Amino acid sequence: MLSLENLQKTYPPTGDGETPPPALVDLSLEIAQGEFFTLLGPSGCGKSTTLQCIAGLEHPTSGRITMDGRTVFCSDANIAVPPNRRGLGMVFQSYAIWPHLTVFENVAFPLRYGPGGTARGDVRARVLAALERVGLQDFADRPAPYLSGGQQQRVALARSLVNEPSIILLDEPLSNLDAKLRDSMRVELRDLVKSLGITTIYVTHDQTEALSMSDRIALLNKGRLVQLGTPDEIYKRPNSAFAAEFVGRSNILKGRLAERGADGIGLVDLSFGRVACPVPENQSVGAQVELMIRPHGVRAENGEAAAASRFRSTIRRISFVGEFLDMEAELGDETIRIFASPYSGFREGDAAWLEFPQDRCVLLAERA
Amino acid sequence: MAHADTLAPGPARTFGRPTTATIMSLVLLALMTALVIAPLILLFRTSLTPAGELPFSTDVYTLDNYREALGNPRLPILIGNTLTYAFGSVTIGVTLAFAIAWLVERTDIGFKRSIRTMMFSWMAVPPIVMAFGWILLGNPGNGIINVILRSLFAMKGAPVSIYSMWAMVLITGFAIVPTAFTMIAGLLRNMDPQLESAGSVHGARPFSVFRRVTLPLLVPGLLSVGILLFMAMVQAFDLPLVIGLTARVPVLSTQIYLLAHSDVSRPDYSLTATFGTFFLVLALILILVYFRAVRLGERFRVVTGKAFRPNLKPLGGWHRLATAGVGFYFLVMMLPFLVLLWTSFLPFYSVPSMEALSRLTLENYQAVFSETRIVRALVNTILLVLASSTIVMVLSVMIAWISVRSKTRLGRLLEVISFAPMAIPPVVLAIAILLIYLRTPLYGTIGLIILAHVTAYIAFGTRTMNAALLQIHKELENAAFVCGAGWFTMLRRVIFPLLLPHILNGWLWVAGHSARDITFPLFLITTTNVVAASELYILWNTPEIPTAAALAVVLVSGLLCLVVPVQIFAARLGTERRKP
Repeated sequence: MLSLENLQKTYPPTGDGETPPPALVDLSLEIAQGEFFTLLGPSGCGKSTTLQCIAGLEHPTSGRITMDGRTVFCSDANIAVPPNRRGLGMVFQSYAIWPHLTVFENVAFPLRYGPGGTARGDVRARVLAALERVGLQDFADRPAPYLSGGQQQRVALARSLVNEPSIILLDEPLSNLDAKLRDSMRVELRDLVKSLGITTIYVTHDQTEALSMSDRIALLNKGRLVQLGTPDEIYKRPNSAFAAEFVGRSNILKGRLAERGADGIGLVDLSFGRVACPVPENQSVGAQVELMIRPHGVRAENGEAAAASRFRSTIRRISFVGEFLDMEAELGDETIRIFASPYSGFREGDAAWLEFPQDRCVLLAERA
Repeated sequence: MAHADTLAPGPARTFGRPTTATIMSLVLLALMTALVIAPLILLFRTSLTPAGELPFSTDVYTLDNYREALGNPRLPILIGNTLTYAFGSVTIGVTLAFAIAWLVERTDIGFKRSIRTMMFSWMAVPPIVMAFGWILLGNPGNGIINVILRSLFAMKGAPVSIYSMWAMVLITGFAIVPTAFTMIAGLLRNMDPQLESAGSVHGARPFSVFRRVTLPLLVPGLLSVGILLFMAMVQAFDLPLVIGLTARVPVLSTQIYLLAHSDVSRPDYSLTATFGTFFLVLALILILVYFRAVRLGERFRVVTGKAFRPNLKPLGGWHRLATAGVGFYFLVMMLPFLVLLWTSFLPFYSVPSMEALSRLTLENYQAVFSETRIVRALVNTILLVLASSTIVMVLSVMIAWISVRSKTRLGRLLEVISFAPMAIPPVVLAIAILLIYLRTPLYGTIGLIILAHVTAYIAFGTRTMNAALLQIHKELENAAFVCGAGWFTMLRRVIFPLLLPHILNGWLWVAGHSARDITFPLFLITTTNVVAASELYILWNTPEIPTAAALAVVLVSGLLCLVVPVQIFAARLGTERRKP
């Protein structure tokens, strides 16, 4: 449906003569029809640049972008379709609601001035339908500056959907809303675009949004694709320390790969003992490795239930978050972060027996 | 919040001793009233005294002056001329400035930094200097343009004349481009480019985006820039004086000058004051229109979090044409100055030729630096420029803080009074100041001109400081108060350093305008308080044109040496602050 092939983007040197690092390095993505696809990463990772390139507001230095089989950008063939001919919908980070127009006129803009040419009589019906979809049917005649942040966001959404584009681009649309509204809008936004079957490209730096809304996530860092996968894969099987630390919280433990079994399960020597863990094929025995486990993944018990795979630790700090107990336990040279049930009766200074289930342990690739 | 509350003057709210800020606002209020309101009251009183009398020496009130002024058949012509001149020059100036600002801010045209620097440095060239240059270029007799046209096309007489309404409009129009450019570039920079991107992503062609999004968004801003400049041009005095009087195109400001400085009879201050009152009313109407336009603009203000990175339009094939156009504008602006530079090295004025080249001399510059009168004028100018700009900025920071931060009636009143000079035409203010100080020892000193300039430019100072202060979070100041700092310490240690780039720019603006102004120096002139600008006018009319040219070159070079480095420093300070 939408494919990005080998996108590169470099900016010219700034006034001070410094050459900025490349914004995109050889980025290739294939996005399916109707998919909710998220570009996730810290600021400056190239996610917004990618979106701007898809929209045609910026052009990559080289590479190719095709939509629905139509090439909209190709550096080799010297093709660059201007943004107004790409037939997209877009919600901008600042919403970009035109303050000199009413809500109705804002939403009607793509119909009136966009390609296709909607009949005058249809405009009204379609605008009202779009406004109804976002629950703003009563606000049609209001001047745009008299809207709250949440309402502006809905108008921007209605405007981007009114022309029934096949692709919609969302540039951090929730980042300017307050926390409560953000929670409800996450669900609403996903349901809306999913019900319309529109391919959605969503840019965010917020892991909660990315995990809860997406079909697939592309995790970017410094202009490069770090990991591509479903939210479940990204969270449970991060492929690097960056991915593990950027999405969710993690314990990263240094160790040495001691053994590898035929079933792909190996044993890793950590500072406090041996832990079983799936091992990728290219990892050689004896190498220095990093083992990652999520704080939720560690099983902690306070009874005297000694078992082969359990380690005795001491709880150093507990903070009661409400939804869980946030604990730090001392184990060998390591401090392990554990999220336990708020109903488990741990206290600071207590001993806790820790277990690292092998399917929750991930061996990370070496740090660059 | 808590601190602002303690500023409230109402009896129910005042606890303990009044704060420093309250005391200072009362002091400033008294000062501003004395500077701004008192002269206006005296002006009005003078317009009601019988002809030939001064308001101090009579207690008769009469409406004769109003009858005479209104009955004067020349009044409609005067007002007509004034409005035509202002409207024509502002239309030309804003159109040109918009074109250049758009090229610089929104396209990939080259030499951006040079264009911005040139535009800003233009403040160093007083309009009166430009006018003299244009007279040398375009006067009907030996104006260079006419000489060239005559020899090229064997024409007779004067193909072009500088002495006409349209020439005056054109020259003024060109001269206000730099000011308009600075304001319009700011408008373009403050507009979120996402608003335009949103248009093109949703299918509109570039022209539709321009017509439906860009232009409607800019109209309120352009309108208020236009009205502000219109106001300034209605009040303009220098070009109408130097060009308009010979061209027999009197406007209100020059008419008032003629009345106060009559060569044939005693100055008629009562009638002058009456015309001044009319002028004041006209200016007041304009300022009300301006406020309406600004309020309209406020409605369109959009708040966004992200810093704007405008996408620059590639000019492609138009690149060369656009660069050439901007270059041509700067060439036209340079021409009058080049002519003056040429003249300043000649013993007597002549059209550039090989023969004249052999006569080049430095005598004029010697004269500038040795004749007692001119040297005194230069010293006076330095005093005037440094004192008035520094006093204006110090007062402005304090007034702006009080009017922005304390939501009391006292603060509001202070804001209104300090903005009032904006609506008072300089000629009117000059007459009013002349009337009030004529019998005091201050009359005839440079101190009086400093006082006049402080009054005239305080409106600009407080406006810019108000705007700058609104960008500073109040908590930064409150943190200083909580740490135990007093009001002055807070201003000195927090506000002043934070606002420094804005303060420097404001200081420069006042310094530049104080040096170029001839209104107050001419109205308040005596033998002892001549400054460079008024000396220039005297030399020109004597006429000692080469000496005047040399003085003009010295004045412009001196101002350039002040404006360019300080501006670069302020700009650098500003960019460093923005870096994380």
